[in-house]
Amino acid sequence: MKPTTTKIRCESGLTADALLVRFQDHIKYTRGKHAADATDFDKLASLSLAIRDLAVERMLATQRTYHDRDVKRVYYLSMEFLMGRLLSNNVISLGLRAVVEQALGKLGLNFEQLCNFEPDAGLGNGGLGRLAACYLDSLATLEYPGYGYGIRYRHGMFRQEFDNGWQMERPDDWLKYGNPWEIIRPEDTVPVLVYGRIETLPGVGSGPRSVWVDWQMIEGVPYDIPIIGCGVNTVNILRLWNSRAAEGFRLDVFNQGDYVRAVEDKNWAENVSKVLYPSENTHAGKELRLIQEYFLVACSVRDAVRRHLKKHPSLDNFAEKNALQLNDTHPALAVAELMRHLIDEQDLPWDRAWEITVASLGYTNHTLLPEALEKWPVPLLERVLPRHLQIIYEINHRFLESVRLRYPNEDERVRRVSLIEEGQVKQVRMANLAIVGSHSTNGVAQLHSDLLKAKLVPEFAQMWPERFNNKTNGVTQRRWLLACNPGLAALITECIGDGWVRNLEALRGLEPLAEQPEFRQRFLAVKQANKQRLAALIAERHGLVLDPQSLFDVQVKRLHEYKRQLLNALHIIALYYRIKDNPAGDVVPRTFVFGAKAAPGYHMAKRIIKFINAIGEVLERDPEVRGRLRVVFLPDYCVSLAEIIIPAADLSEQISTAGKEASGTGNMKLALNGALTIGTWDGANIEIAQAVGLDNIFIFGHRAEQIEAMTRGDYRPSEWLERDAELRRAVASIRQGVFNPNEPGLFDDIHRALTEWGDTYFHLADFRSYADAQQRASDLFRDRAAWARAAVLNVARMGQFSSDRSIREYADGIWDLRPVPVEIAGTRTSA
Amino acid sequence: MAVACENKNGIGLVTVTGSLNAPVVDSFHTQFGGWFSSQPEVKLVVVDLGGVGFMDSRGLGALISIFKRVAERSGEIRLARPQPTVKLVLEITRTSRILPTFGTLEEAMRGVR
Repeated sequence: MKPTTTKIRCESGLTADALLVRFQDHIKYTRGKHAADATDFDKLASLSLAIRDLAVERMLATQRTYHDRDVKRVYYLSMEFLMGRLLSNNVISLGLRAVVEQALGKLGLNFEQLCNFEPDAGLGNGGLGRLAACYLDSLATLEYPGYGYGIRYRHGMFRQEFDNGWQMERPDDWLKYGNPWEIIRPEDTVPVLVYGRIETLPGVGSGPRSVWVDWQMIEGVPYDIPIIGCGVNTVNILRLWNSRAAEGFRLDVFNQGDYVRAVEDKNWAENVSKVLYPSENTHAGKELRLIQEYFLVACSVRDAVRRHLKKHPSLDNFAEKNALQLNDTHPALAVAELMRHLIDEQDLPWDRAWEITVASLGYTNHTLLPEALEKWPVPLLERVLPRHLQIIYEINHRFLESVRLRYPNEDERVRRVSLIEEGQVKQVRMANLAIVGSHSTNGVAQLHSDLLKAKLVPEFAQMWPERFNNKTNGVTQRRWLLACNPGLAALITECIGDGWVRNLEALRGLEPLAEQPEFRQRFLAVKQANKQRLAALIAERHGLVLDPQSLFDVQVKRLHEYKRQLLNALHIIALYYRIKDNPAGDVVPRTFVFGAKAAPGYHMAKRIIKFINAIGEVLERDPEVRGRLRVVFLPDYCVSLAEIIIPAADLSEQISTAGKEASGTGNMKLALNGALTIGTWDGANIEIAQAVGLDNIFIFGHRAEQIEAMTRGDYRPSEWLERDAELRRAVASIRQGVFNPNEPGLFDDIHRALTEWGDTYFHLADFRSYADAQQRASDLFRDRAAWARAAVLNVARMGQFSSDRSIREYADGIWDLRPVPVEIAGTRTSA
Repeated sequence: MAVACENKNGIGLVTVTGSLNAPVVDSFHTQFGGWFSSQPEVKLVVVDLGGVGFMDSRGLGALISIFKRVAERSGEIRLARPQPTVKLVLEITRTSRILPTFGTLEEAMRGVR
């Protein structure tokens, strides 16, 4: 069935013939090729450039409007932007899908096939980076003056391959053929100084002054990517910084014949934006990562200040015109950098500089995991950023003075809120710096925000209750429904119109249709087609033939123990034994689809990947099980793969240990595409459950307060094993080597983690509840009408999980930002 | 890099052109040091940076070194016409707080911004 498309009302008056001319011109004049010689990438690049041309017209109008109207702007600082592919979404946002298809059709080209040649811009590890990308989409679509600031990593998230079931990391090379979407802006290059020391010199008339000496300079060169609002004229900018040496190579050294040393500085400077750090939650001590974080902050703050000074004589009103949002603590050095800027370069007095800094900055916390809270050793900061350490010390001194005044004789409180953690090696607590130096600290789901205040930083929440707030994450429906699931998008639009594209709450109009058998049938048919699409991709790439009638049970997310892919694996083993014990038993056929990358240094996570692959192999070889249980671990999970997997999912695994997952956004994407969630009472699962109704979700497991009580108390994994024979057998199979007959001991650490090392993430405590919830899911799946009804209600009730809602809340509650419609003669928008 | 030092009615005018960076600072020191020693009456030194397109930390160190030498004589040093990137470096490092910086040579000579 070829789905009808959902049209975006935003017409530029462009005809297919006119687009074709632009496309062919780019083949010839930009790529320098005859049409007959053009490669697939030439065609992709030329189409992208033709589309970019249209976006640039709107981008110029947008920037002109912002400048002329002197609007307040928000800058979203993030070390990660997981953008994925851009062509398809940009074409949809401009309302040009039909025109593009028509134009390419005249040349016998297929738009979707062309889109598949585009490499993912994988400049992020997972949820945090994808959230940033969704927020850019919403900022532009809602016509907010917003900018993204990030790093143009030469190598993004590593490419994952499997070798005998083990994860192998290969370098990502997304810029290999160039990036047609980016526009280099060398005129806005900024210098960034690192290293050195502070030397105190006798002053001129006003006492001694200190000077930053012996530094090294690198330059940040901006590359702009247009962010196209959907159905509006607004085109915002994602500005990515590329590092380079301030002074090319050393000609004097080169002329002496020392060619290697002549380019040393150049190589060092270029390394700063060379590689995205994989998320290991333990960056401390990695000097290059610290320099990367400062590089982003220094470039971005200077750029924001430059833009402000184009319209204003000073920075005195900077906070009224600019908001800077820190996506996690990675850009928290912005506190010290903005202070340095205001004091050292603008000569503002400390107190005024502090007012401006705090009023400008907002901080989003993304984790409660203690190991993920960034801390930088003081000696490292002193070596890399000596002036900033001085400023951080001064901030801390003044802050702690105020704390002591307010809470006299409370040394323990002072110790806990200090920006400096005492110890053998002093460390700067970046979360504390971000909280003290900003006017807003938000969590990313209600439970997370509550725990943030109650458990992580209670002293700060007590001191400044007005600064703490919640902004539950959201996802953009333009990518995560309209573009990735055209079949469902078309069905929805046919039934309730296309208002949902810009107002996801409109999906509520689907609720009555959940009771209509005919609609449910069509809904299931779309799901089936999406499952077949995924099955076809898996067959093509991996030679595996899946049963699209089976229940597609999907867990796609980073591999981390707290996310509990291992709990999923234990359940698969339990099902395996059920079939072995009773081969004639009636088991709902399932295909377990995994997608996950483990940080290269996270050995347990990599072993869990191997373990799941090993289970898959055993199941595959067993004739009694084959066709009833299937495990497919797809390598190289990324945005473009997610766009195929998510629409095909029946069941969405959101099974983190309660209290550990800040929010999650995969849970939202999957539910929005009609998957039912099996999940713990954690992160945004709770709000999803409240929205879709407990009848339409499979909630299980201990709650956060129970987990905490067990953590504090005496959790004995063995007790949970003793009382559950099925669990005992599953766990024993790991020790017995059922899944590693040729490599004894391979998974002993997994067994020990569950039994001897305390089962830190409570797999055993939650297993029975999880298995029971899985049984409920199987039972419901047999009743196709009931399953479809629940799935439709999930889609219908996901309105609040749009990133549009999140961004409106940020704009109203933190940034004090207003939409700014952009007028362009001759265009019509749906706004 | 080229350095020219001259006595303009009792004011030392040091004109630098090219990059003021590691490979040239020794030469810069030698030329300025020799000339400054021969001009005992000079108390005010103006460094014209209009022709300096790039300055690294060694170059900045050279300016600070001049500052110290002039200060030993209870004198004063002023910087004139730094190009935008050099000016930015002077501001980031807070050098401009110690070495007064002027937009034109005339202003620097007169000490009036």
